Amino acid sequence: MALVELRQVMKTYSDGQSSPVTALQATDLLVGPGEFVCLAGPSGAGKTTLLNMIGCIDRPTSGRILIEEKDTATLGRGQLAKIRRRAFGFVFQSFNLIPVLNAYENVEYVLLLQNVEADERRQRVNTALASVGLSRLMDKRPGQLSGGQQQRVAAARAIVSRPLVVLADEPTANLDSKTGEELIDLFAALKQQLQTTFVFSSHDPAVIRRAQRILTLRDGRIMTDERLGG
Amino acid sequence: MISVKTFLVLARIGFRNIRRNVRRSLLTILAISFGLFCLIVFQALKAGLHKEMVSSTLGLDAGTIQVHAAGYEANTAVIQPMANIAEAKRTLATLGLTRFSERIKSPALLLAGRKSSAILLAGVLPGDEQQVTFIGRKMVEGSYLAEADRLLLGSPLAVSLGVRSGDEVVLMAQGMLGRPATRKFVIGGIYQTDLATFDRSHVYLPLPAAQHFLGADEVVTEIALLTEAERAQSLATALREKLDPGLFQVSSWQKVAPDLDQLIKLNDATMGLLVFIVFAIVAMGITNTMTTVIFERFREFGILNAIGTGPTAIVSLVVLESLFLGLIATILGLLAGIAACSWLQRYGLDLSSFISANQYFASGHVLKAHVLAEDLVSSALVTLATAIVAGIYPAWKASRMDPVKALLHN
Ligand SMILES: Nc1ncnc2c1ncn2[C@@H]1O[C@H](COP(=O)(O)OP(=O)(O)OP(=O)(O)O)[C@@H](O)[C@H]1O
Ligand SMILES: [Mg+2]
Repeated sequence: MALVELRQVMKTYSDGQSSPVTALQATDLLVGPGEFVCLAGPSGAGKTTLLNMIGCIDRPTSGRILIEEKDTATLGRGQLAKIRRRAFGFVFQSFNLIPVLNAYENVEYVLLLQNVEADERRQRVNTALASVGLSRLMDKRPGQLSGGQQQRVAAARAIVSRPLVVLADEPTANLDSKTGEELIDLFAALKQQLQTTFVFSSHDPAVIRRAQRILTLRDGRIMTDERLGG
Repeated sequence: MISVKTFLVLARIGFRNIRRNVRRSLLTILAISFGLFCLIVFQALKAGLHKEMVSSTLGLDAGTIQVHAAGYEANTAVIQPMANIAEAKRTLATLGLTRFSERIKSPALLLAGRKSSAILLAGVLPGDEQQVTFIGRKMVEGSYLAEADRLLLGSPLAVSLGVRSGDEVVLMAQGMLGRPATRKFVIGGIYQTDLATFDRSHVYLPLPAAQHFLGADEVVTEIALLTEAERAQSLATALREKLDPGLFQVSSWQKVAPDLDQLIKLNDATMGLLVFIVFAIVAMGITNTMTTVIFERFREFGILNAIGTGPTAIVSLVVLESLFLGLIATILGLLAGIAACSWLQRYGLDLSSFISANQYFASGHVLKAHVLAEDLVSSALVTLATAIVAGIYPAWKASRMDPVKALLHN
């Protein structure tokens, strides 16, 4: 069963003045359980747009998006927020975290949105922080953490809700290459441990190389879809 | 809908957000609390002014409630005696009303040599009258109705007639049953209030002397009571229910002094308008602050939205933040307002230079604040409601922000 299915999904942006930009051509895509997918391609290729379509952050201009085989086309803002809460974990390029909450509270936040009971919440947050190696820093606010530490808190937040898919748009772009590679290795370990699907985008060959499936985009089109063994 | 847990975490975030830009939050809080402060002070001064106007006007003569004979008409020359005074007094006692004064009143003419003046003669029991009016405390010459048949008159009248305490004057009136009455009286005292028109026209005699002079022994035409001004209307109603309507007619001060009542209502309406203007300005201030805040946190709202914070929760977050600003401001404004009012309650504002020429309402020259608990509560609630309402538009804006655009702006 596909977790996420895109059928002929197309996205054009128009700001009303210049001619509309087609960020994503009609695209079919299946993302299955336990996959470790990287979206590669040059700047402007449509990586962010495709991730936003998968994560129901934005609506397609045409085509259908199915999450666990359920169509999302007719859902309102509130219902889409609920799908995102339940089905996805997100890691963005930077400024991922709520500045006024400490690391623990940032991770806990998504569980509060889901109304998880106190005991279970505490246990899950502690486990998530331990699995990204940040138990020691859990009372620090984002401003007191390094870029790599912030991204690991975001990863803990992304996995704590036990989503179907963790989506990460250029999670390593603001990190030095060593820290970036460590973050992707952490993703791989989490994927292994939790059997969670990861879809992330990157420019960095060292990062792309670590994926098990590489989708290469150009001009809003998936040019190649390679699966690597392992 | 959002759960209690979500609400609480949003409240925590909202509260902490206030400290992110301390200077801006403080400015906003100060602006709101200043609005509330002004409101509290204005209201207390207004209440103080009303209290002062009511007591100084009604304490001259009218009291807060008057009882007359059924069918009584003011401003007629005819004496309108009340029947069964004893029953009326018993009823007052059952209602716990002890501050009252029974009177006989009649128009009369006062002559001194070749000068004369039309006056209103009132016969009163001095001790009872002092329970209701303060004329006894306004003596400038002689004594207050100390002797059984000496006249008490106002200073401006004495001046215009050219008489003093101890002089003889002649009183003329149409007595009971239309029999003319004329008699010489010695002036026993002279009083002076702040209201010259009153002093020129009101002349007093002890009750038995006045009754005798008017050929109306035992006759009383009016009972004036002094109660709390705010309770006068309800007490008058209670009295009306107990007294035989065939014999008695009860009026509260709002009917006896309609001008004063109107002035107070006008003041209240003006105050309402002022409140509206102050809070419209406060609301614009909050809306402006919160709009700036949400545009600054554009990306943050994008993240909140992306990780599953629904539109209702985002609206709640912004409204809560605005409410917290309002809450802090309300506490500050209340404290400052109460402090200022207690000072004004003790020392007052000296307004003598503004109200010297007031000839319609007697009023002291120092305006003292009078804080009413219900004014404080309603002002605080209005402030909080304003903070909530002012937060709604920016909150709605925040909930409609496009997460894609927010996330693209790294
Ligand atoms: N909100 C938008 N409004 C208008 N055009 C947009 C918008 N978002 C993306 N585009 C355009 O759509 C195309 C694809 O953009 P997208 O952000 O998906 O590329 P990307 O592969 O993520 O690039 P990058 O590596 O720079 O992040 C680009 O030409 C971009 O300019
Ligand atoms: Mg991108």
